[in-house]
Parts: sequence; C-alpha cells; structure tokens
Amino acid sequence: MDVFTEVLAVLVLGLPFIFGGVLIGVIAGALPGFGASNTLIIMLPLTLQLGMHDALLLVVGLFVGVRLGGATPAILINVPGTASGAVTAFEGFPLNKKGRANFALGIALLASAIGSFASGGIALFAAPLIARIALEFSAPEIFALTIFSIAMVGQISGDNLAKGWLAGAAGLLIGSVGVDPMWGIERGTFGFVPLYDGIPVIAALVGLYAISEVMVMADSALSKGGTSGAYLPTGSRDRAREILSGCALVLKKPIDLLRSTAIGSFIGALPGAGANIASFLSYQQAITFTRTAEEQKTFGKGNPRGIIASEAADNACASGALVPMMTLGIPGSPSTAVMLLLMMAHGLNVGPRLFSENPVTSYAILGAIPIAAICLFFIGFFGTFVASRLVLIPVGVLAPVIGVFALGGAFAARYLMFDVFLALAFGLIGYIMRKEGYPPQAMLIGVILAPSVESNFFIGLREGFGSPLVFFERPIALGIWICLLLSTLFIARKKKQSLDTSSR
Amino acid sequence: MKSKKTKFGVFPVIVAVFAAYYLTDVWGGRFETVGYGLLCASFVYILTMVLAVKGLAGSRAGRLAAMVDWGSSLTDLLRAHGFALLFFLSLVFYAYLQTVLGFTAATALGFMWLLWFMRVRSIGRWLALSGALTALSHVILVELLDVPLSEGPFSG
Repeated sequence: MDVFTEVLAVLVLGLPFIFGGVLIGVIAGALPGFGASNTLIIMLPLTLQLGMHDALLLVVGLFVGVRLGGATPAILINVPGTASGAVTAFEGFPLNKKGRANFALGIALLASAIGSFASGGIALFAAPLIARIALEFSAPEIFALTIFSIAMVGQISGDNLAKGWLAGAAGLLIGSVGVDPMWGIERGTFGFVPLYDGIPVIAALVGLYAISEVMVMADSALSKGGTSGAYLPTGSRDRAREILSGCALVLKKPIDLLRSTAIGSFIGALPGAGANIASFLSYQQAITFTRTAEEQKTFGKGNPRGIIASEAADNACASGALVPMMTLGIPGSPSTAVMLLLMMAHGLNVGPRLFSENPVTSYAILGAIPIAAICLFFIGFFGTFVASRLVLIPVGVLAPVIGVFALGGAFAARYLMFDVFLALAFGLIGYIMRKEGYPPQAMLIGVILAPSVESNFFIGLREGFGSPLVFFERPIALGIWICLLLSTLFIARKKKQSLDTSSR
Repeated sequence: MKSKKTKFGVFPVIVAVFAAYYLTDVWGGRFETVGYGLLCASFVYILTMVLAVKGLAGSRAGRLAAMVDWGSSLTDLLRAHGFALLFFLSLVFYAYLQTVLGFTAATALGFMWLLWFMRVRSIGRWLALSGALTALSHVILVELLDVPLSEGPFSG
C-alpha cells in the first residue's frame, strides 16, 4: 500500500477520535484555566492507553477545538477561555451588547474552521519550507515581532493612546515579575515564593476579565436595577439564522481570511511566538488595512472584521505550531511540548527524520487538521447554538457562576490557592482600570507577551555582545520595525483625517 | 466636565510605585536585567507624566485632588462602588473559606450568599439554584476535570 492510501486509512479509522478531540477541545477551551496544555496534561494518561494514531488524532482534534472554545465565553460574557481569545473579546463582546451575540458567534465559528482548514493544507504541503524560514528568525526578530504586537495596544485603547500604552507597559513590567531568565535575580515578587516562576497568565486573565467583569455586573445590576442589559432572547430558528448570517459574512471577507490565516500559520511556526502574538498581530493588521477612517473608528466597538482576524489567525496557529515541533523537534509552546512528549512516549523519533522514518504518522497528523476543522464547524455550530442561551441567564445568577468557575480555573493552572488570591488582586486592579478609562486588555497583552519580550531581549543583547543595535541591524528585524512605523503612521493619519472630517 | 480622557486616577500611581519597587530589586544586577527594568519603567514614568499633565490641564481648578475620580469621601466611594466592592470581598472570603471548609462546602455557602446578595430572594429558587450550582461545580471541576481542590476537614 502506498503512503497516501495508508494515511487515508488511518484518517478514516481515526475519525471518531478526531471528532472526540474537537468536542473535548471546544468544551475545555470555554473554561478559563483549561486551555490546550492543561487539558492535554489531564488527558495524557488516557491518551497513553490508546493506540498511537488514535491518541495523536485525538490530540490534534483537541488543538483545533480549544481555539473556538476560548472565543465563545469571550463573546458571550467578556471572559475569554484562552489568552488568545482575549482579542476576540475586543469586538465580540461589544457586538453581544448590541444584541448580536449569535452573529458574533457565527463569525468566530466559520473563521476558526476556515483558519484551521487552510493552515492545515498549508502545513501539509509546505511544512519543511515553513520550518526553514522559521529558522531565520532568532531573538532580535521575535523581540521586534512581540513589540509590534504590543504597539497595537494604543490602537485598541480607544481615544486615549497614553492610557493604552501605560496599561501595556504596566503589563510588560508585571509580566516579568519573578526570577529573571538569565541570571536568577528575583524581581518584584514581594518575597512570595509562588511568584518566583512569574505571574501565571491564567490568574491575570481570570482577574482582569472575569473578576472585574463580575464586579461591574454586580455594580450595574444592584445599583442601577438592571438585569441582563441589552441581551435579547430569540427563538431557536432566529438564533440559528443569526449564527449562519455571521458565517455568511465571513465568506464575504476573503482577503481578511487569507491574510489572517497566513499570519497565523507563519507566526505559529516561530518557536516561542505563539497564538497570542498571531491574534494580536492579525487584529492590528485588520485595523491597518481598513479603507476608511470611519471604519477604523469602529474597531473596539463591534467590528466583525476584528473577530475574523483574531479567530482565523488563532486557529491557523494550531497547525503552524506543529510544524517546528514535527520537523525540528522544537516545541513552540507548552501544548506542543506535551504533544512532543506524547509522540516520544509512542516511540516516534521527533525531529528532522520524522517525515522520512514515519511518513504515514506525520502526514496523518497534518491531514487530520482539515478534517478536524470540518468537525469543528458542526460541533461548533451546535455548541454555539446551545451556549448562546447563556445570554438569557439573569445577571444575578450569571455573576456568581462566573466568579466561582473563574476562581476554579485560576486554581487549576498550578493547583495553588495563591493563584486564586492573585486572580482576585488582578480583579480589583482590573475594576479600577475600567472605572478610570484604562483598558485592562492592554495590560493583559503586556503580561502575556512579557516573558517572550524579556527572554528575546536578553538573548538578543547577548547575541549583540551588549549592543542594543542588534535589534535593528538584522534585515528581518529592521523590516519588522519599519512595518511597525508605517502601520502606526498609517493609522494615525487615518485618525487625523477622521478628526478633520468630524470637525468640519 | 472632565472626560475620561483627562482623568488621571489612582492606577498610574499604583503602577509608578510598583515600578519603583521593581527597580530597587534589579538595581545593581546584570545589565540585561537592569536594562529591561529601566526600559519598562521609563515607559511607565513618561506616560504617567503625560497623563498627569493632561489631567492637570483638564482639571477645572487645577488641584491634584480633582484629578482622582473616586469621590471626595468614603461615603461617595461606597455609594458609587459599594456593591462591586462587597461582591469582591465576598469572593475573597469565599476563597479563604475553601482553605478551611474545602471546595464543595465553601462553594455551597458561597453560592448561597452570592445569589442572595444578587437579589435571588425567592427561597425555593435560591435553595434550588445554590444546590444545583454547587453540584454542577463539584461534578465539572472535581469529578470530570480532576482538579485537586481542597477537601478541607472532609478529606480521607
């Protein structure tokens, strides 16, 4: 039997496992604290009992499903299930507040499915090429890329650039708390040993989003006597129609889809970069490539293109991240590290010889991604259909439920009660930020990207023998800085044009 | 009237104080560590000053106190944010209770208090929801996801 036929046989027999993996991923991604890596770790003993192909296909399904899972609560209750889902919340929750939650869910659903499908195809045919290009990126390039992502913070902070950048800078500082990656110097820990490893991202995510959100809910529900705000209950047929209309909109934005998928596939292939950078970068590029200043002003207020950009890139990252792991043996993220462990446990020699020694397994893993994307659409449709009823739950019940599950998620990251109290502290800070007009999502971006910024800053300085010029001398890094400058000037010019138009 | 754009607030003060503490930890260390700290802290201080200048310029009387938006007295603070702060303190106490009573018992009490606080006042509905949500939390977090939450005095 030739390789193609064998791969096909593996995929057909493994369909139930792909389907199951997607289902588990969608559910796990919706719970803050239970992203891909935590869920994989919990499921590792189970996967070791399965056959090699079944286990790997289950895990691939999980990778694909968890991304959409993270977007669902981000849209419905402004509490992203995953860090990369935070970008979807920027546009999805404002759409929800306008009574268009199902529409936003439909957009996220199809953008996720297409992003996964297309990037799976890219990975299948171009994995070695992508890996070779990814090798050209080292610390100065990744540092430039992460700063590029954070710089868009100012653009999503609404009217006040300084407030957004201050929140982002605070996030960069807070995110570097702990023992530094090179010299072991303890910084900003206040003597707490659990902080030596740094700020757990889940605690920051849960606090800045979930806890501050429930505080705002309590405030508005009790002092203003409101209930669920602008959420409008609709019948089953109306909800299904709304979800499908969101899907239809995605098909009308092929350029956004293509650009976001390309960004996600490529960024996912960079070791250490990750889905967070891909989502932010893709979102920033969606803002940059808006035709009119008026449309640019709608970002942050429920622009569907923002959801398309973040979800397509986020899902494209899943297959992108598998490329360096499979071709070079370099896991780019905690979740791919767990997958690497799983592959090694099943006797696979992961690295440059994987494709030549185990072609059937290798191509089955990559071929499973487009299949998982199709499963994602169907599972996701019914999942979002059911989940959309969440908006009908009164705030008086929703707020306590979110609070309890969010704190459970904060605990689940490292099994430490310290993280629960840390999440509460972030919650208070998030509430203060919201009341004073500082965007907590900007701080979260800084916290998430701080380890990457810092480690690449350190390594880059070492590569340049202490000279900061190393970040500007390399052609790819210089190209990224130029793109950053041009994007910022382009957007600033559009804002100025918009101000001139409105003052006339 | 001051808009949100020019309000200074307490957040920049918190961040600036933290940045100062951070710098005291890294000062005298290796240049990469100090360099990163200085890079972030300098952004924080520059932006804080920009916002302070904007806040002063926007404040009608130009007084520092007018720049902070949390009210001029404790009564104002509680009136504007009392419910949110009480909900927050409830969550803090709930987290503490978990260490004493264990997750399930603390969650039962937590849901009972929080639902009552959020004005679920029909006794039947309040009890049913508290019980159901506690059971759901236990099933999902403890049984299905196998999170090793505290069992308190009920362990073993």
